[in-house]
Amino acid sequence: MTTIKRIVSLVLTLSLLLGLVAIAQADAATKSISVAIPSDPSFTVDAIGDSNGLTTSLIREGLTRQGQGGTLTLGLAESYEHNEDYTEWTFHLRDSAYQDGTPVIADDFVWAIGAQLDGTVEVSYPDFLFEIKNARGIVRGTATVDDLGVKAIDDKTVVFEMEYPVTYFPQLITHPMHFGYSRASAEKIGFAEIGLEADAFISNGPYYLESWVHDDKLVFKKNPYYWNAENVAIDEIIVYVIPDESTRVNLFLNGELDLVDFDASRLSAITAAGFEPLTYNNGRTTYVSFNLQSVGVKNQKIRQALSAAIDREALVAGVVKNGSTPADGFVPVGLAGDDTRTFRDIVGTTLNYPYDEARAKELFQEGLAEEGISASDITVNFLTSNATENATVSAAIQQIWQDTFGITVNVDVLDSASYRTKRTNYEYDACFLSWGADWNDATNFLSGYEQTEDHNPSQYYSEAFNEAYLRGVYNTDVTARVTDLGESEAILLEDAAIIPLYYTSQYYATSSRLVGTERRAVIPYLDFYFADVK
Amino acid sequence: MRGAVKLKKYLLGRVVVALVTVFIVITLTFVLMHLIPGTPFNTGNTNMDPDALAQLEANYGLDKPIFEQYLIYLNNLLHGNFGTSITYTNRSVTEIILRSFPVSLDLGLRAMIFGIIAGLLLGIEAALHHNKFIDRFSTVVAIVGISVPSFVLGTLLQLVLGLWFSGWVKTVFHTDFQLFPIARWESFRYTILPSFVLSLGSIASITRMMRSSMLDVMSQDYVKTARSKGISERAVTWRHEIRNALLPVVTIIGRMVGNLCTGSFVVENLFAIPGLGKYYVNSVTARDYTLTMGLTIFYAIFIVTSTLLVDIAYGFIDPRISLAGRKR
Repeated sequence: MTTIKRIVSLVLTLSLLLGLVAIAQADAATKSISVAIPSDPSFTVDAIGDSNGLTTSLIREGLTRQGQGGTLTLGLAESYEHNEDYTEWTFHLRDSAYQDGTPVIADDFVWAIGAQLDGTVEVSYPDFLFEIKNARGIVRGTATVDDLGVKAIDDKTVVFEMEYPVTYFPQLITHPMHFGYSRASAEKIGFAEIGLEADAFISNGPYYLESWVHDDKLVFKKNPYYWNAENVAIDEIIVYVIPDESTRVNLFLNGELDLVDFDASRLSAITAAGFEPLTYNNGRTTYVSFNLQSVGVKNQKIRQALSAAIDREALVAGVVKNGSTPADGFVPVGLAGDDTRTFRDIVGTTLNYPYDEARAKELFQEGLAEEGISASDITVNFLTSNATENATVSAAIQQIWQDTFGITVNVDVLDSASYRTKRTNYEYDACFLSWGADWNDATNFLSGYEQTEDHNPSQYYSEAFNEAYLRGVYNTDVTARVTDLGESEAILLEDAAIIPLYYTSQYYATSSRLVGTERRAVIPYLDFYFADVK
Repeated sequence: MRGAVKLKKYLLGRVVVALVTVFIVITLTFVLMHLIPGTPFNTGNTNMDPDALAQLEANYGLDKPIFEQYLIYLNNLLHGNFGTSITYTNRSVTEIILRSFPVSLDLGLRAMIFGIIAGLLLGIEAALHHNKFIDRFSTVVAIVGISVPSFVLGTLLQLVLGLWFSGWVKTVFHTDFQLFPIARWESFRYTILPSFVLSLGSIASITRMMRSSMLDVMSQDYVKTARSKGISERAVTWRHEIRNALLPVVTIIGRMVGNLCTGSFVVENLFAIPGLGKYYVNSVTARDYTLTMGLTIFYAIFIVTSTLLVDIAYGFIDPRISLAGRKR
């Protein structure tokens, strides 16, 4: 026994000594925080970095940026103006520089946006840029990059021409695809090499990437040339790549991370350790989309009935359990409306078929009569993916529909790649979906249902929807356009082409020393720009 | 001299078989990957712009007929080109392997060394003290090692040793030093928990194998003869029992190399170790054709080579085994 005691005491003494050395090495003057992301980030020209968009927001800045409490502030632009019909936006750049001291110039934007459209750099969603004049044409091959509606008047002035009035353009350009990148740096690094390593990217944001050990650790240091460097409080941000959520939570509880996102199953562990669980609305709507051609659900009344059968309050409280709130429309809460109010504040509820079991059954019978079928004829193949809570929630909905209507619902749980293919090919009757905002405007959600000759992202076609939607898009009155878009949303939900379920929330907790963290409904969902450590 | 010629001939034959094996693996994986439904693209909620999608597919040659894609792939492979990953834009498959494999190999070797030492010791002790406490203990270890999944054990150790023990050290000694860090891959102490978790399965199988092999040898006539000749007990144990009992165990150690050193998805994921394991699993789920192909070929080559090496090592350990066939 004494030998064991001796070994234990030796080990503990050694650990104590090593610990003291470690403490002595720490520099008290540097304000440093640590966070974790689930996978190695990507810093290609179009990338948001990690799933929270944090890492890209550290090393890149757009002309505008998301501010505190849902506001919009200026980024690399010191001012901007637009013409009367919002088809031309002019931005005046500040004096700011990349991490190597090279000044930020208007051409950075011309190059970066053009490169994403003409195939110089690989992007998945060039559609994000299609509001810019000739952007679609460049992708289609009917225009060249010289025709692009982004022009540098001089080093400090960049002008964007639009395809149609874009009143929300300052919001749109907080997405990294609208950011600039130095043409000279890109040519030096090589187009296909941009962002692959720490030294293959130059930052024009508040931080720069000092070191990057893949799948492991990234160290971000303050960019001294950044225009607002004096107001950036935190000197160093260490980002660890930790794939497993339980590991991230344990690291947080052990004081190694300053912030952690977690799901409902970790709530008790977080609370037990004395941390306050926080939630934020992450600008995401979870909904069911229908295959409008399939026998069981092609009837509008049946789809309305399927919507009215779902008790969304009970669903979020009993099944989802992550602070999500019942949806009363498609565009999520927190998305911008006019200058002062959010979209939902202005439009209100558009969910015409909320929970009402009696009405659901009534609508269902009417639908059956219209189609001349009976409940037993209906089999709904319900496609869902195995990501997060999707399968559980889908199973709950299956139960509800079967119990309410006596129909057959088969849940098809697939891995995300197979799910995507089946969804793209409409190999489903109903499909479980969740969609988050890429830019802070309702068009982000509604544009998926507009159908024109060369734009048909979904099966849905409604003249009334198209009319209301396009009226909204072309309306240059910032409040009236929201009302128009709200009208198109109401048409979509009256047709029950989709049925919204809930607006998703995310749990998170921060260390007691970290203050001023911004969480919001659009990218970057996590932002330390205004943060400080006590 | 004749032996050396025979060995050369044998090796040549084995290399040819290995190449054929790898070729079959390439072809099968290629066909299977393209047979499973799914696309690496179209991650949004509405359909991608058709021209953008076409451009992406063309970038990766996915617009061509499947047989042509196969020929192009083989041709690239012959030029040592594994291609670029589809999900990790612009990152070459070779780069990912070169960066991640050394970490997986490091972890695998640690787990193997620990597993072999602990497994052999436990197995030998159990056989020598048949039906005593240590024997029963080894059975418990074997059962636990085989039945408890590594993510359960790993999570438990992270909680007990990584979180609670460190917390206790912190309050008692006022230090942030962690003997068992929760995750990541830095200095030696970071490697303890993941290596142990990864080795547990091998400990279990080696213990069981060594124990039964020892018991078998111990009842052999030549052991009795040796003992009756008056050779010391220690010498009997070492020279006659353990040495002969080791042979079957070498077989499973050979198999373990392939299993442990190519990266464990679960252990690497849980302990945030930048190894190859997660790339393999994630690339299949994401339908990253090039990455899956590259990793499969790499694994095939690695396993074929390590099997060959183990077979050669056999000949040295047991002179009765002749690689080049039985001598007349």
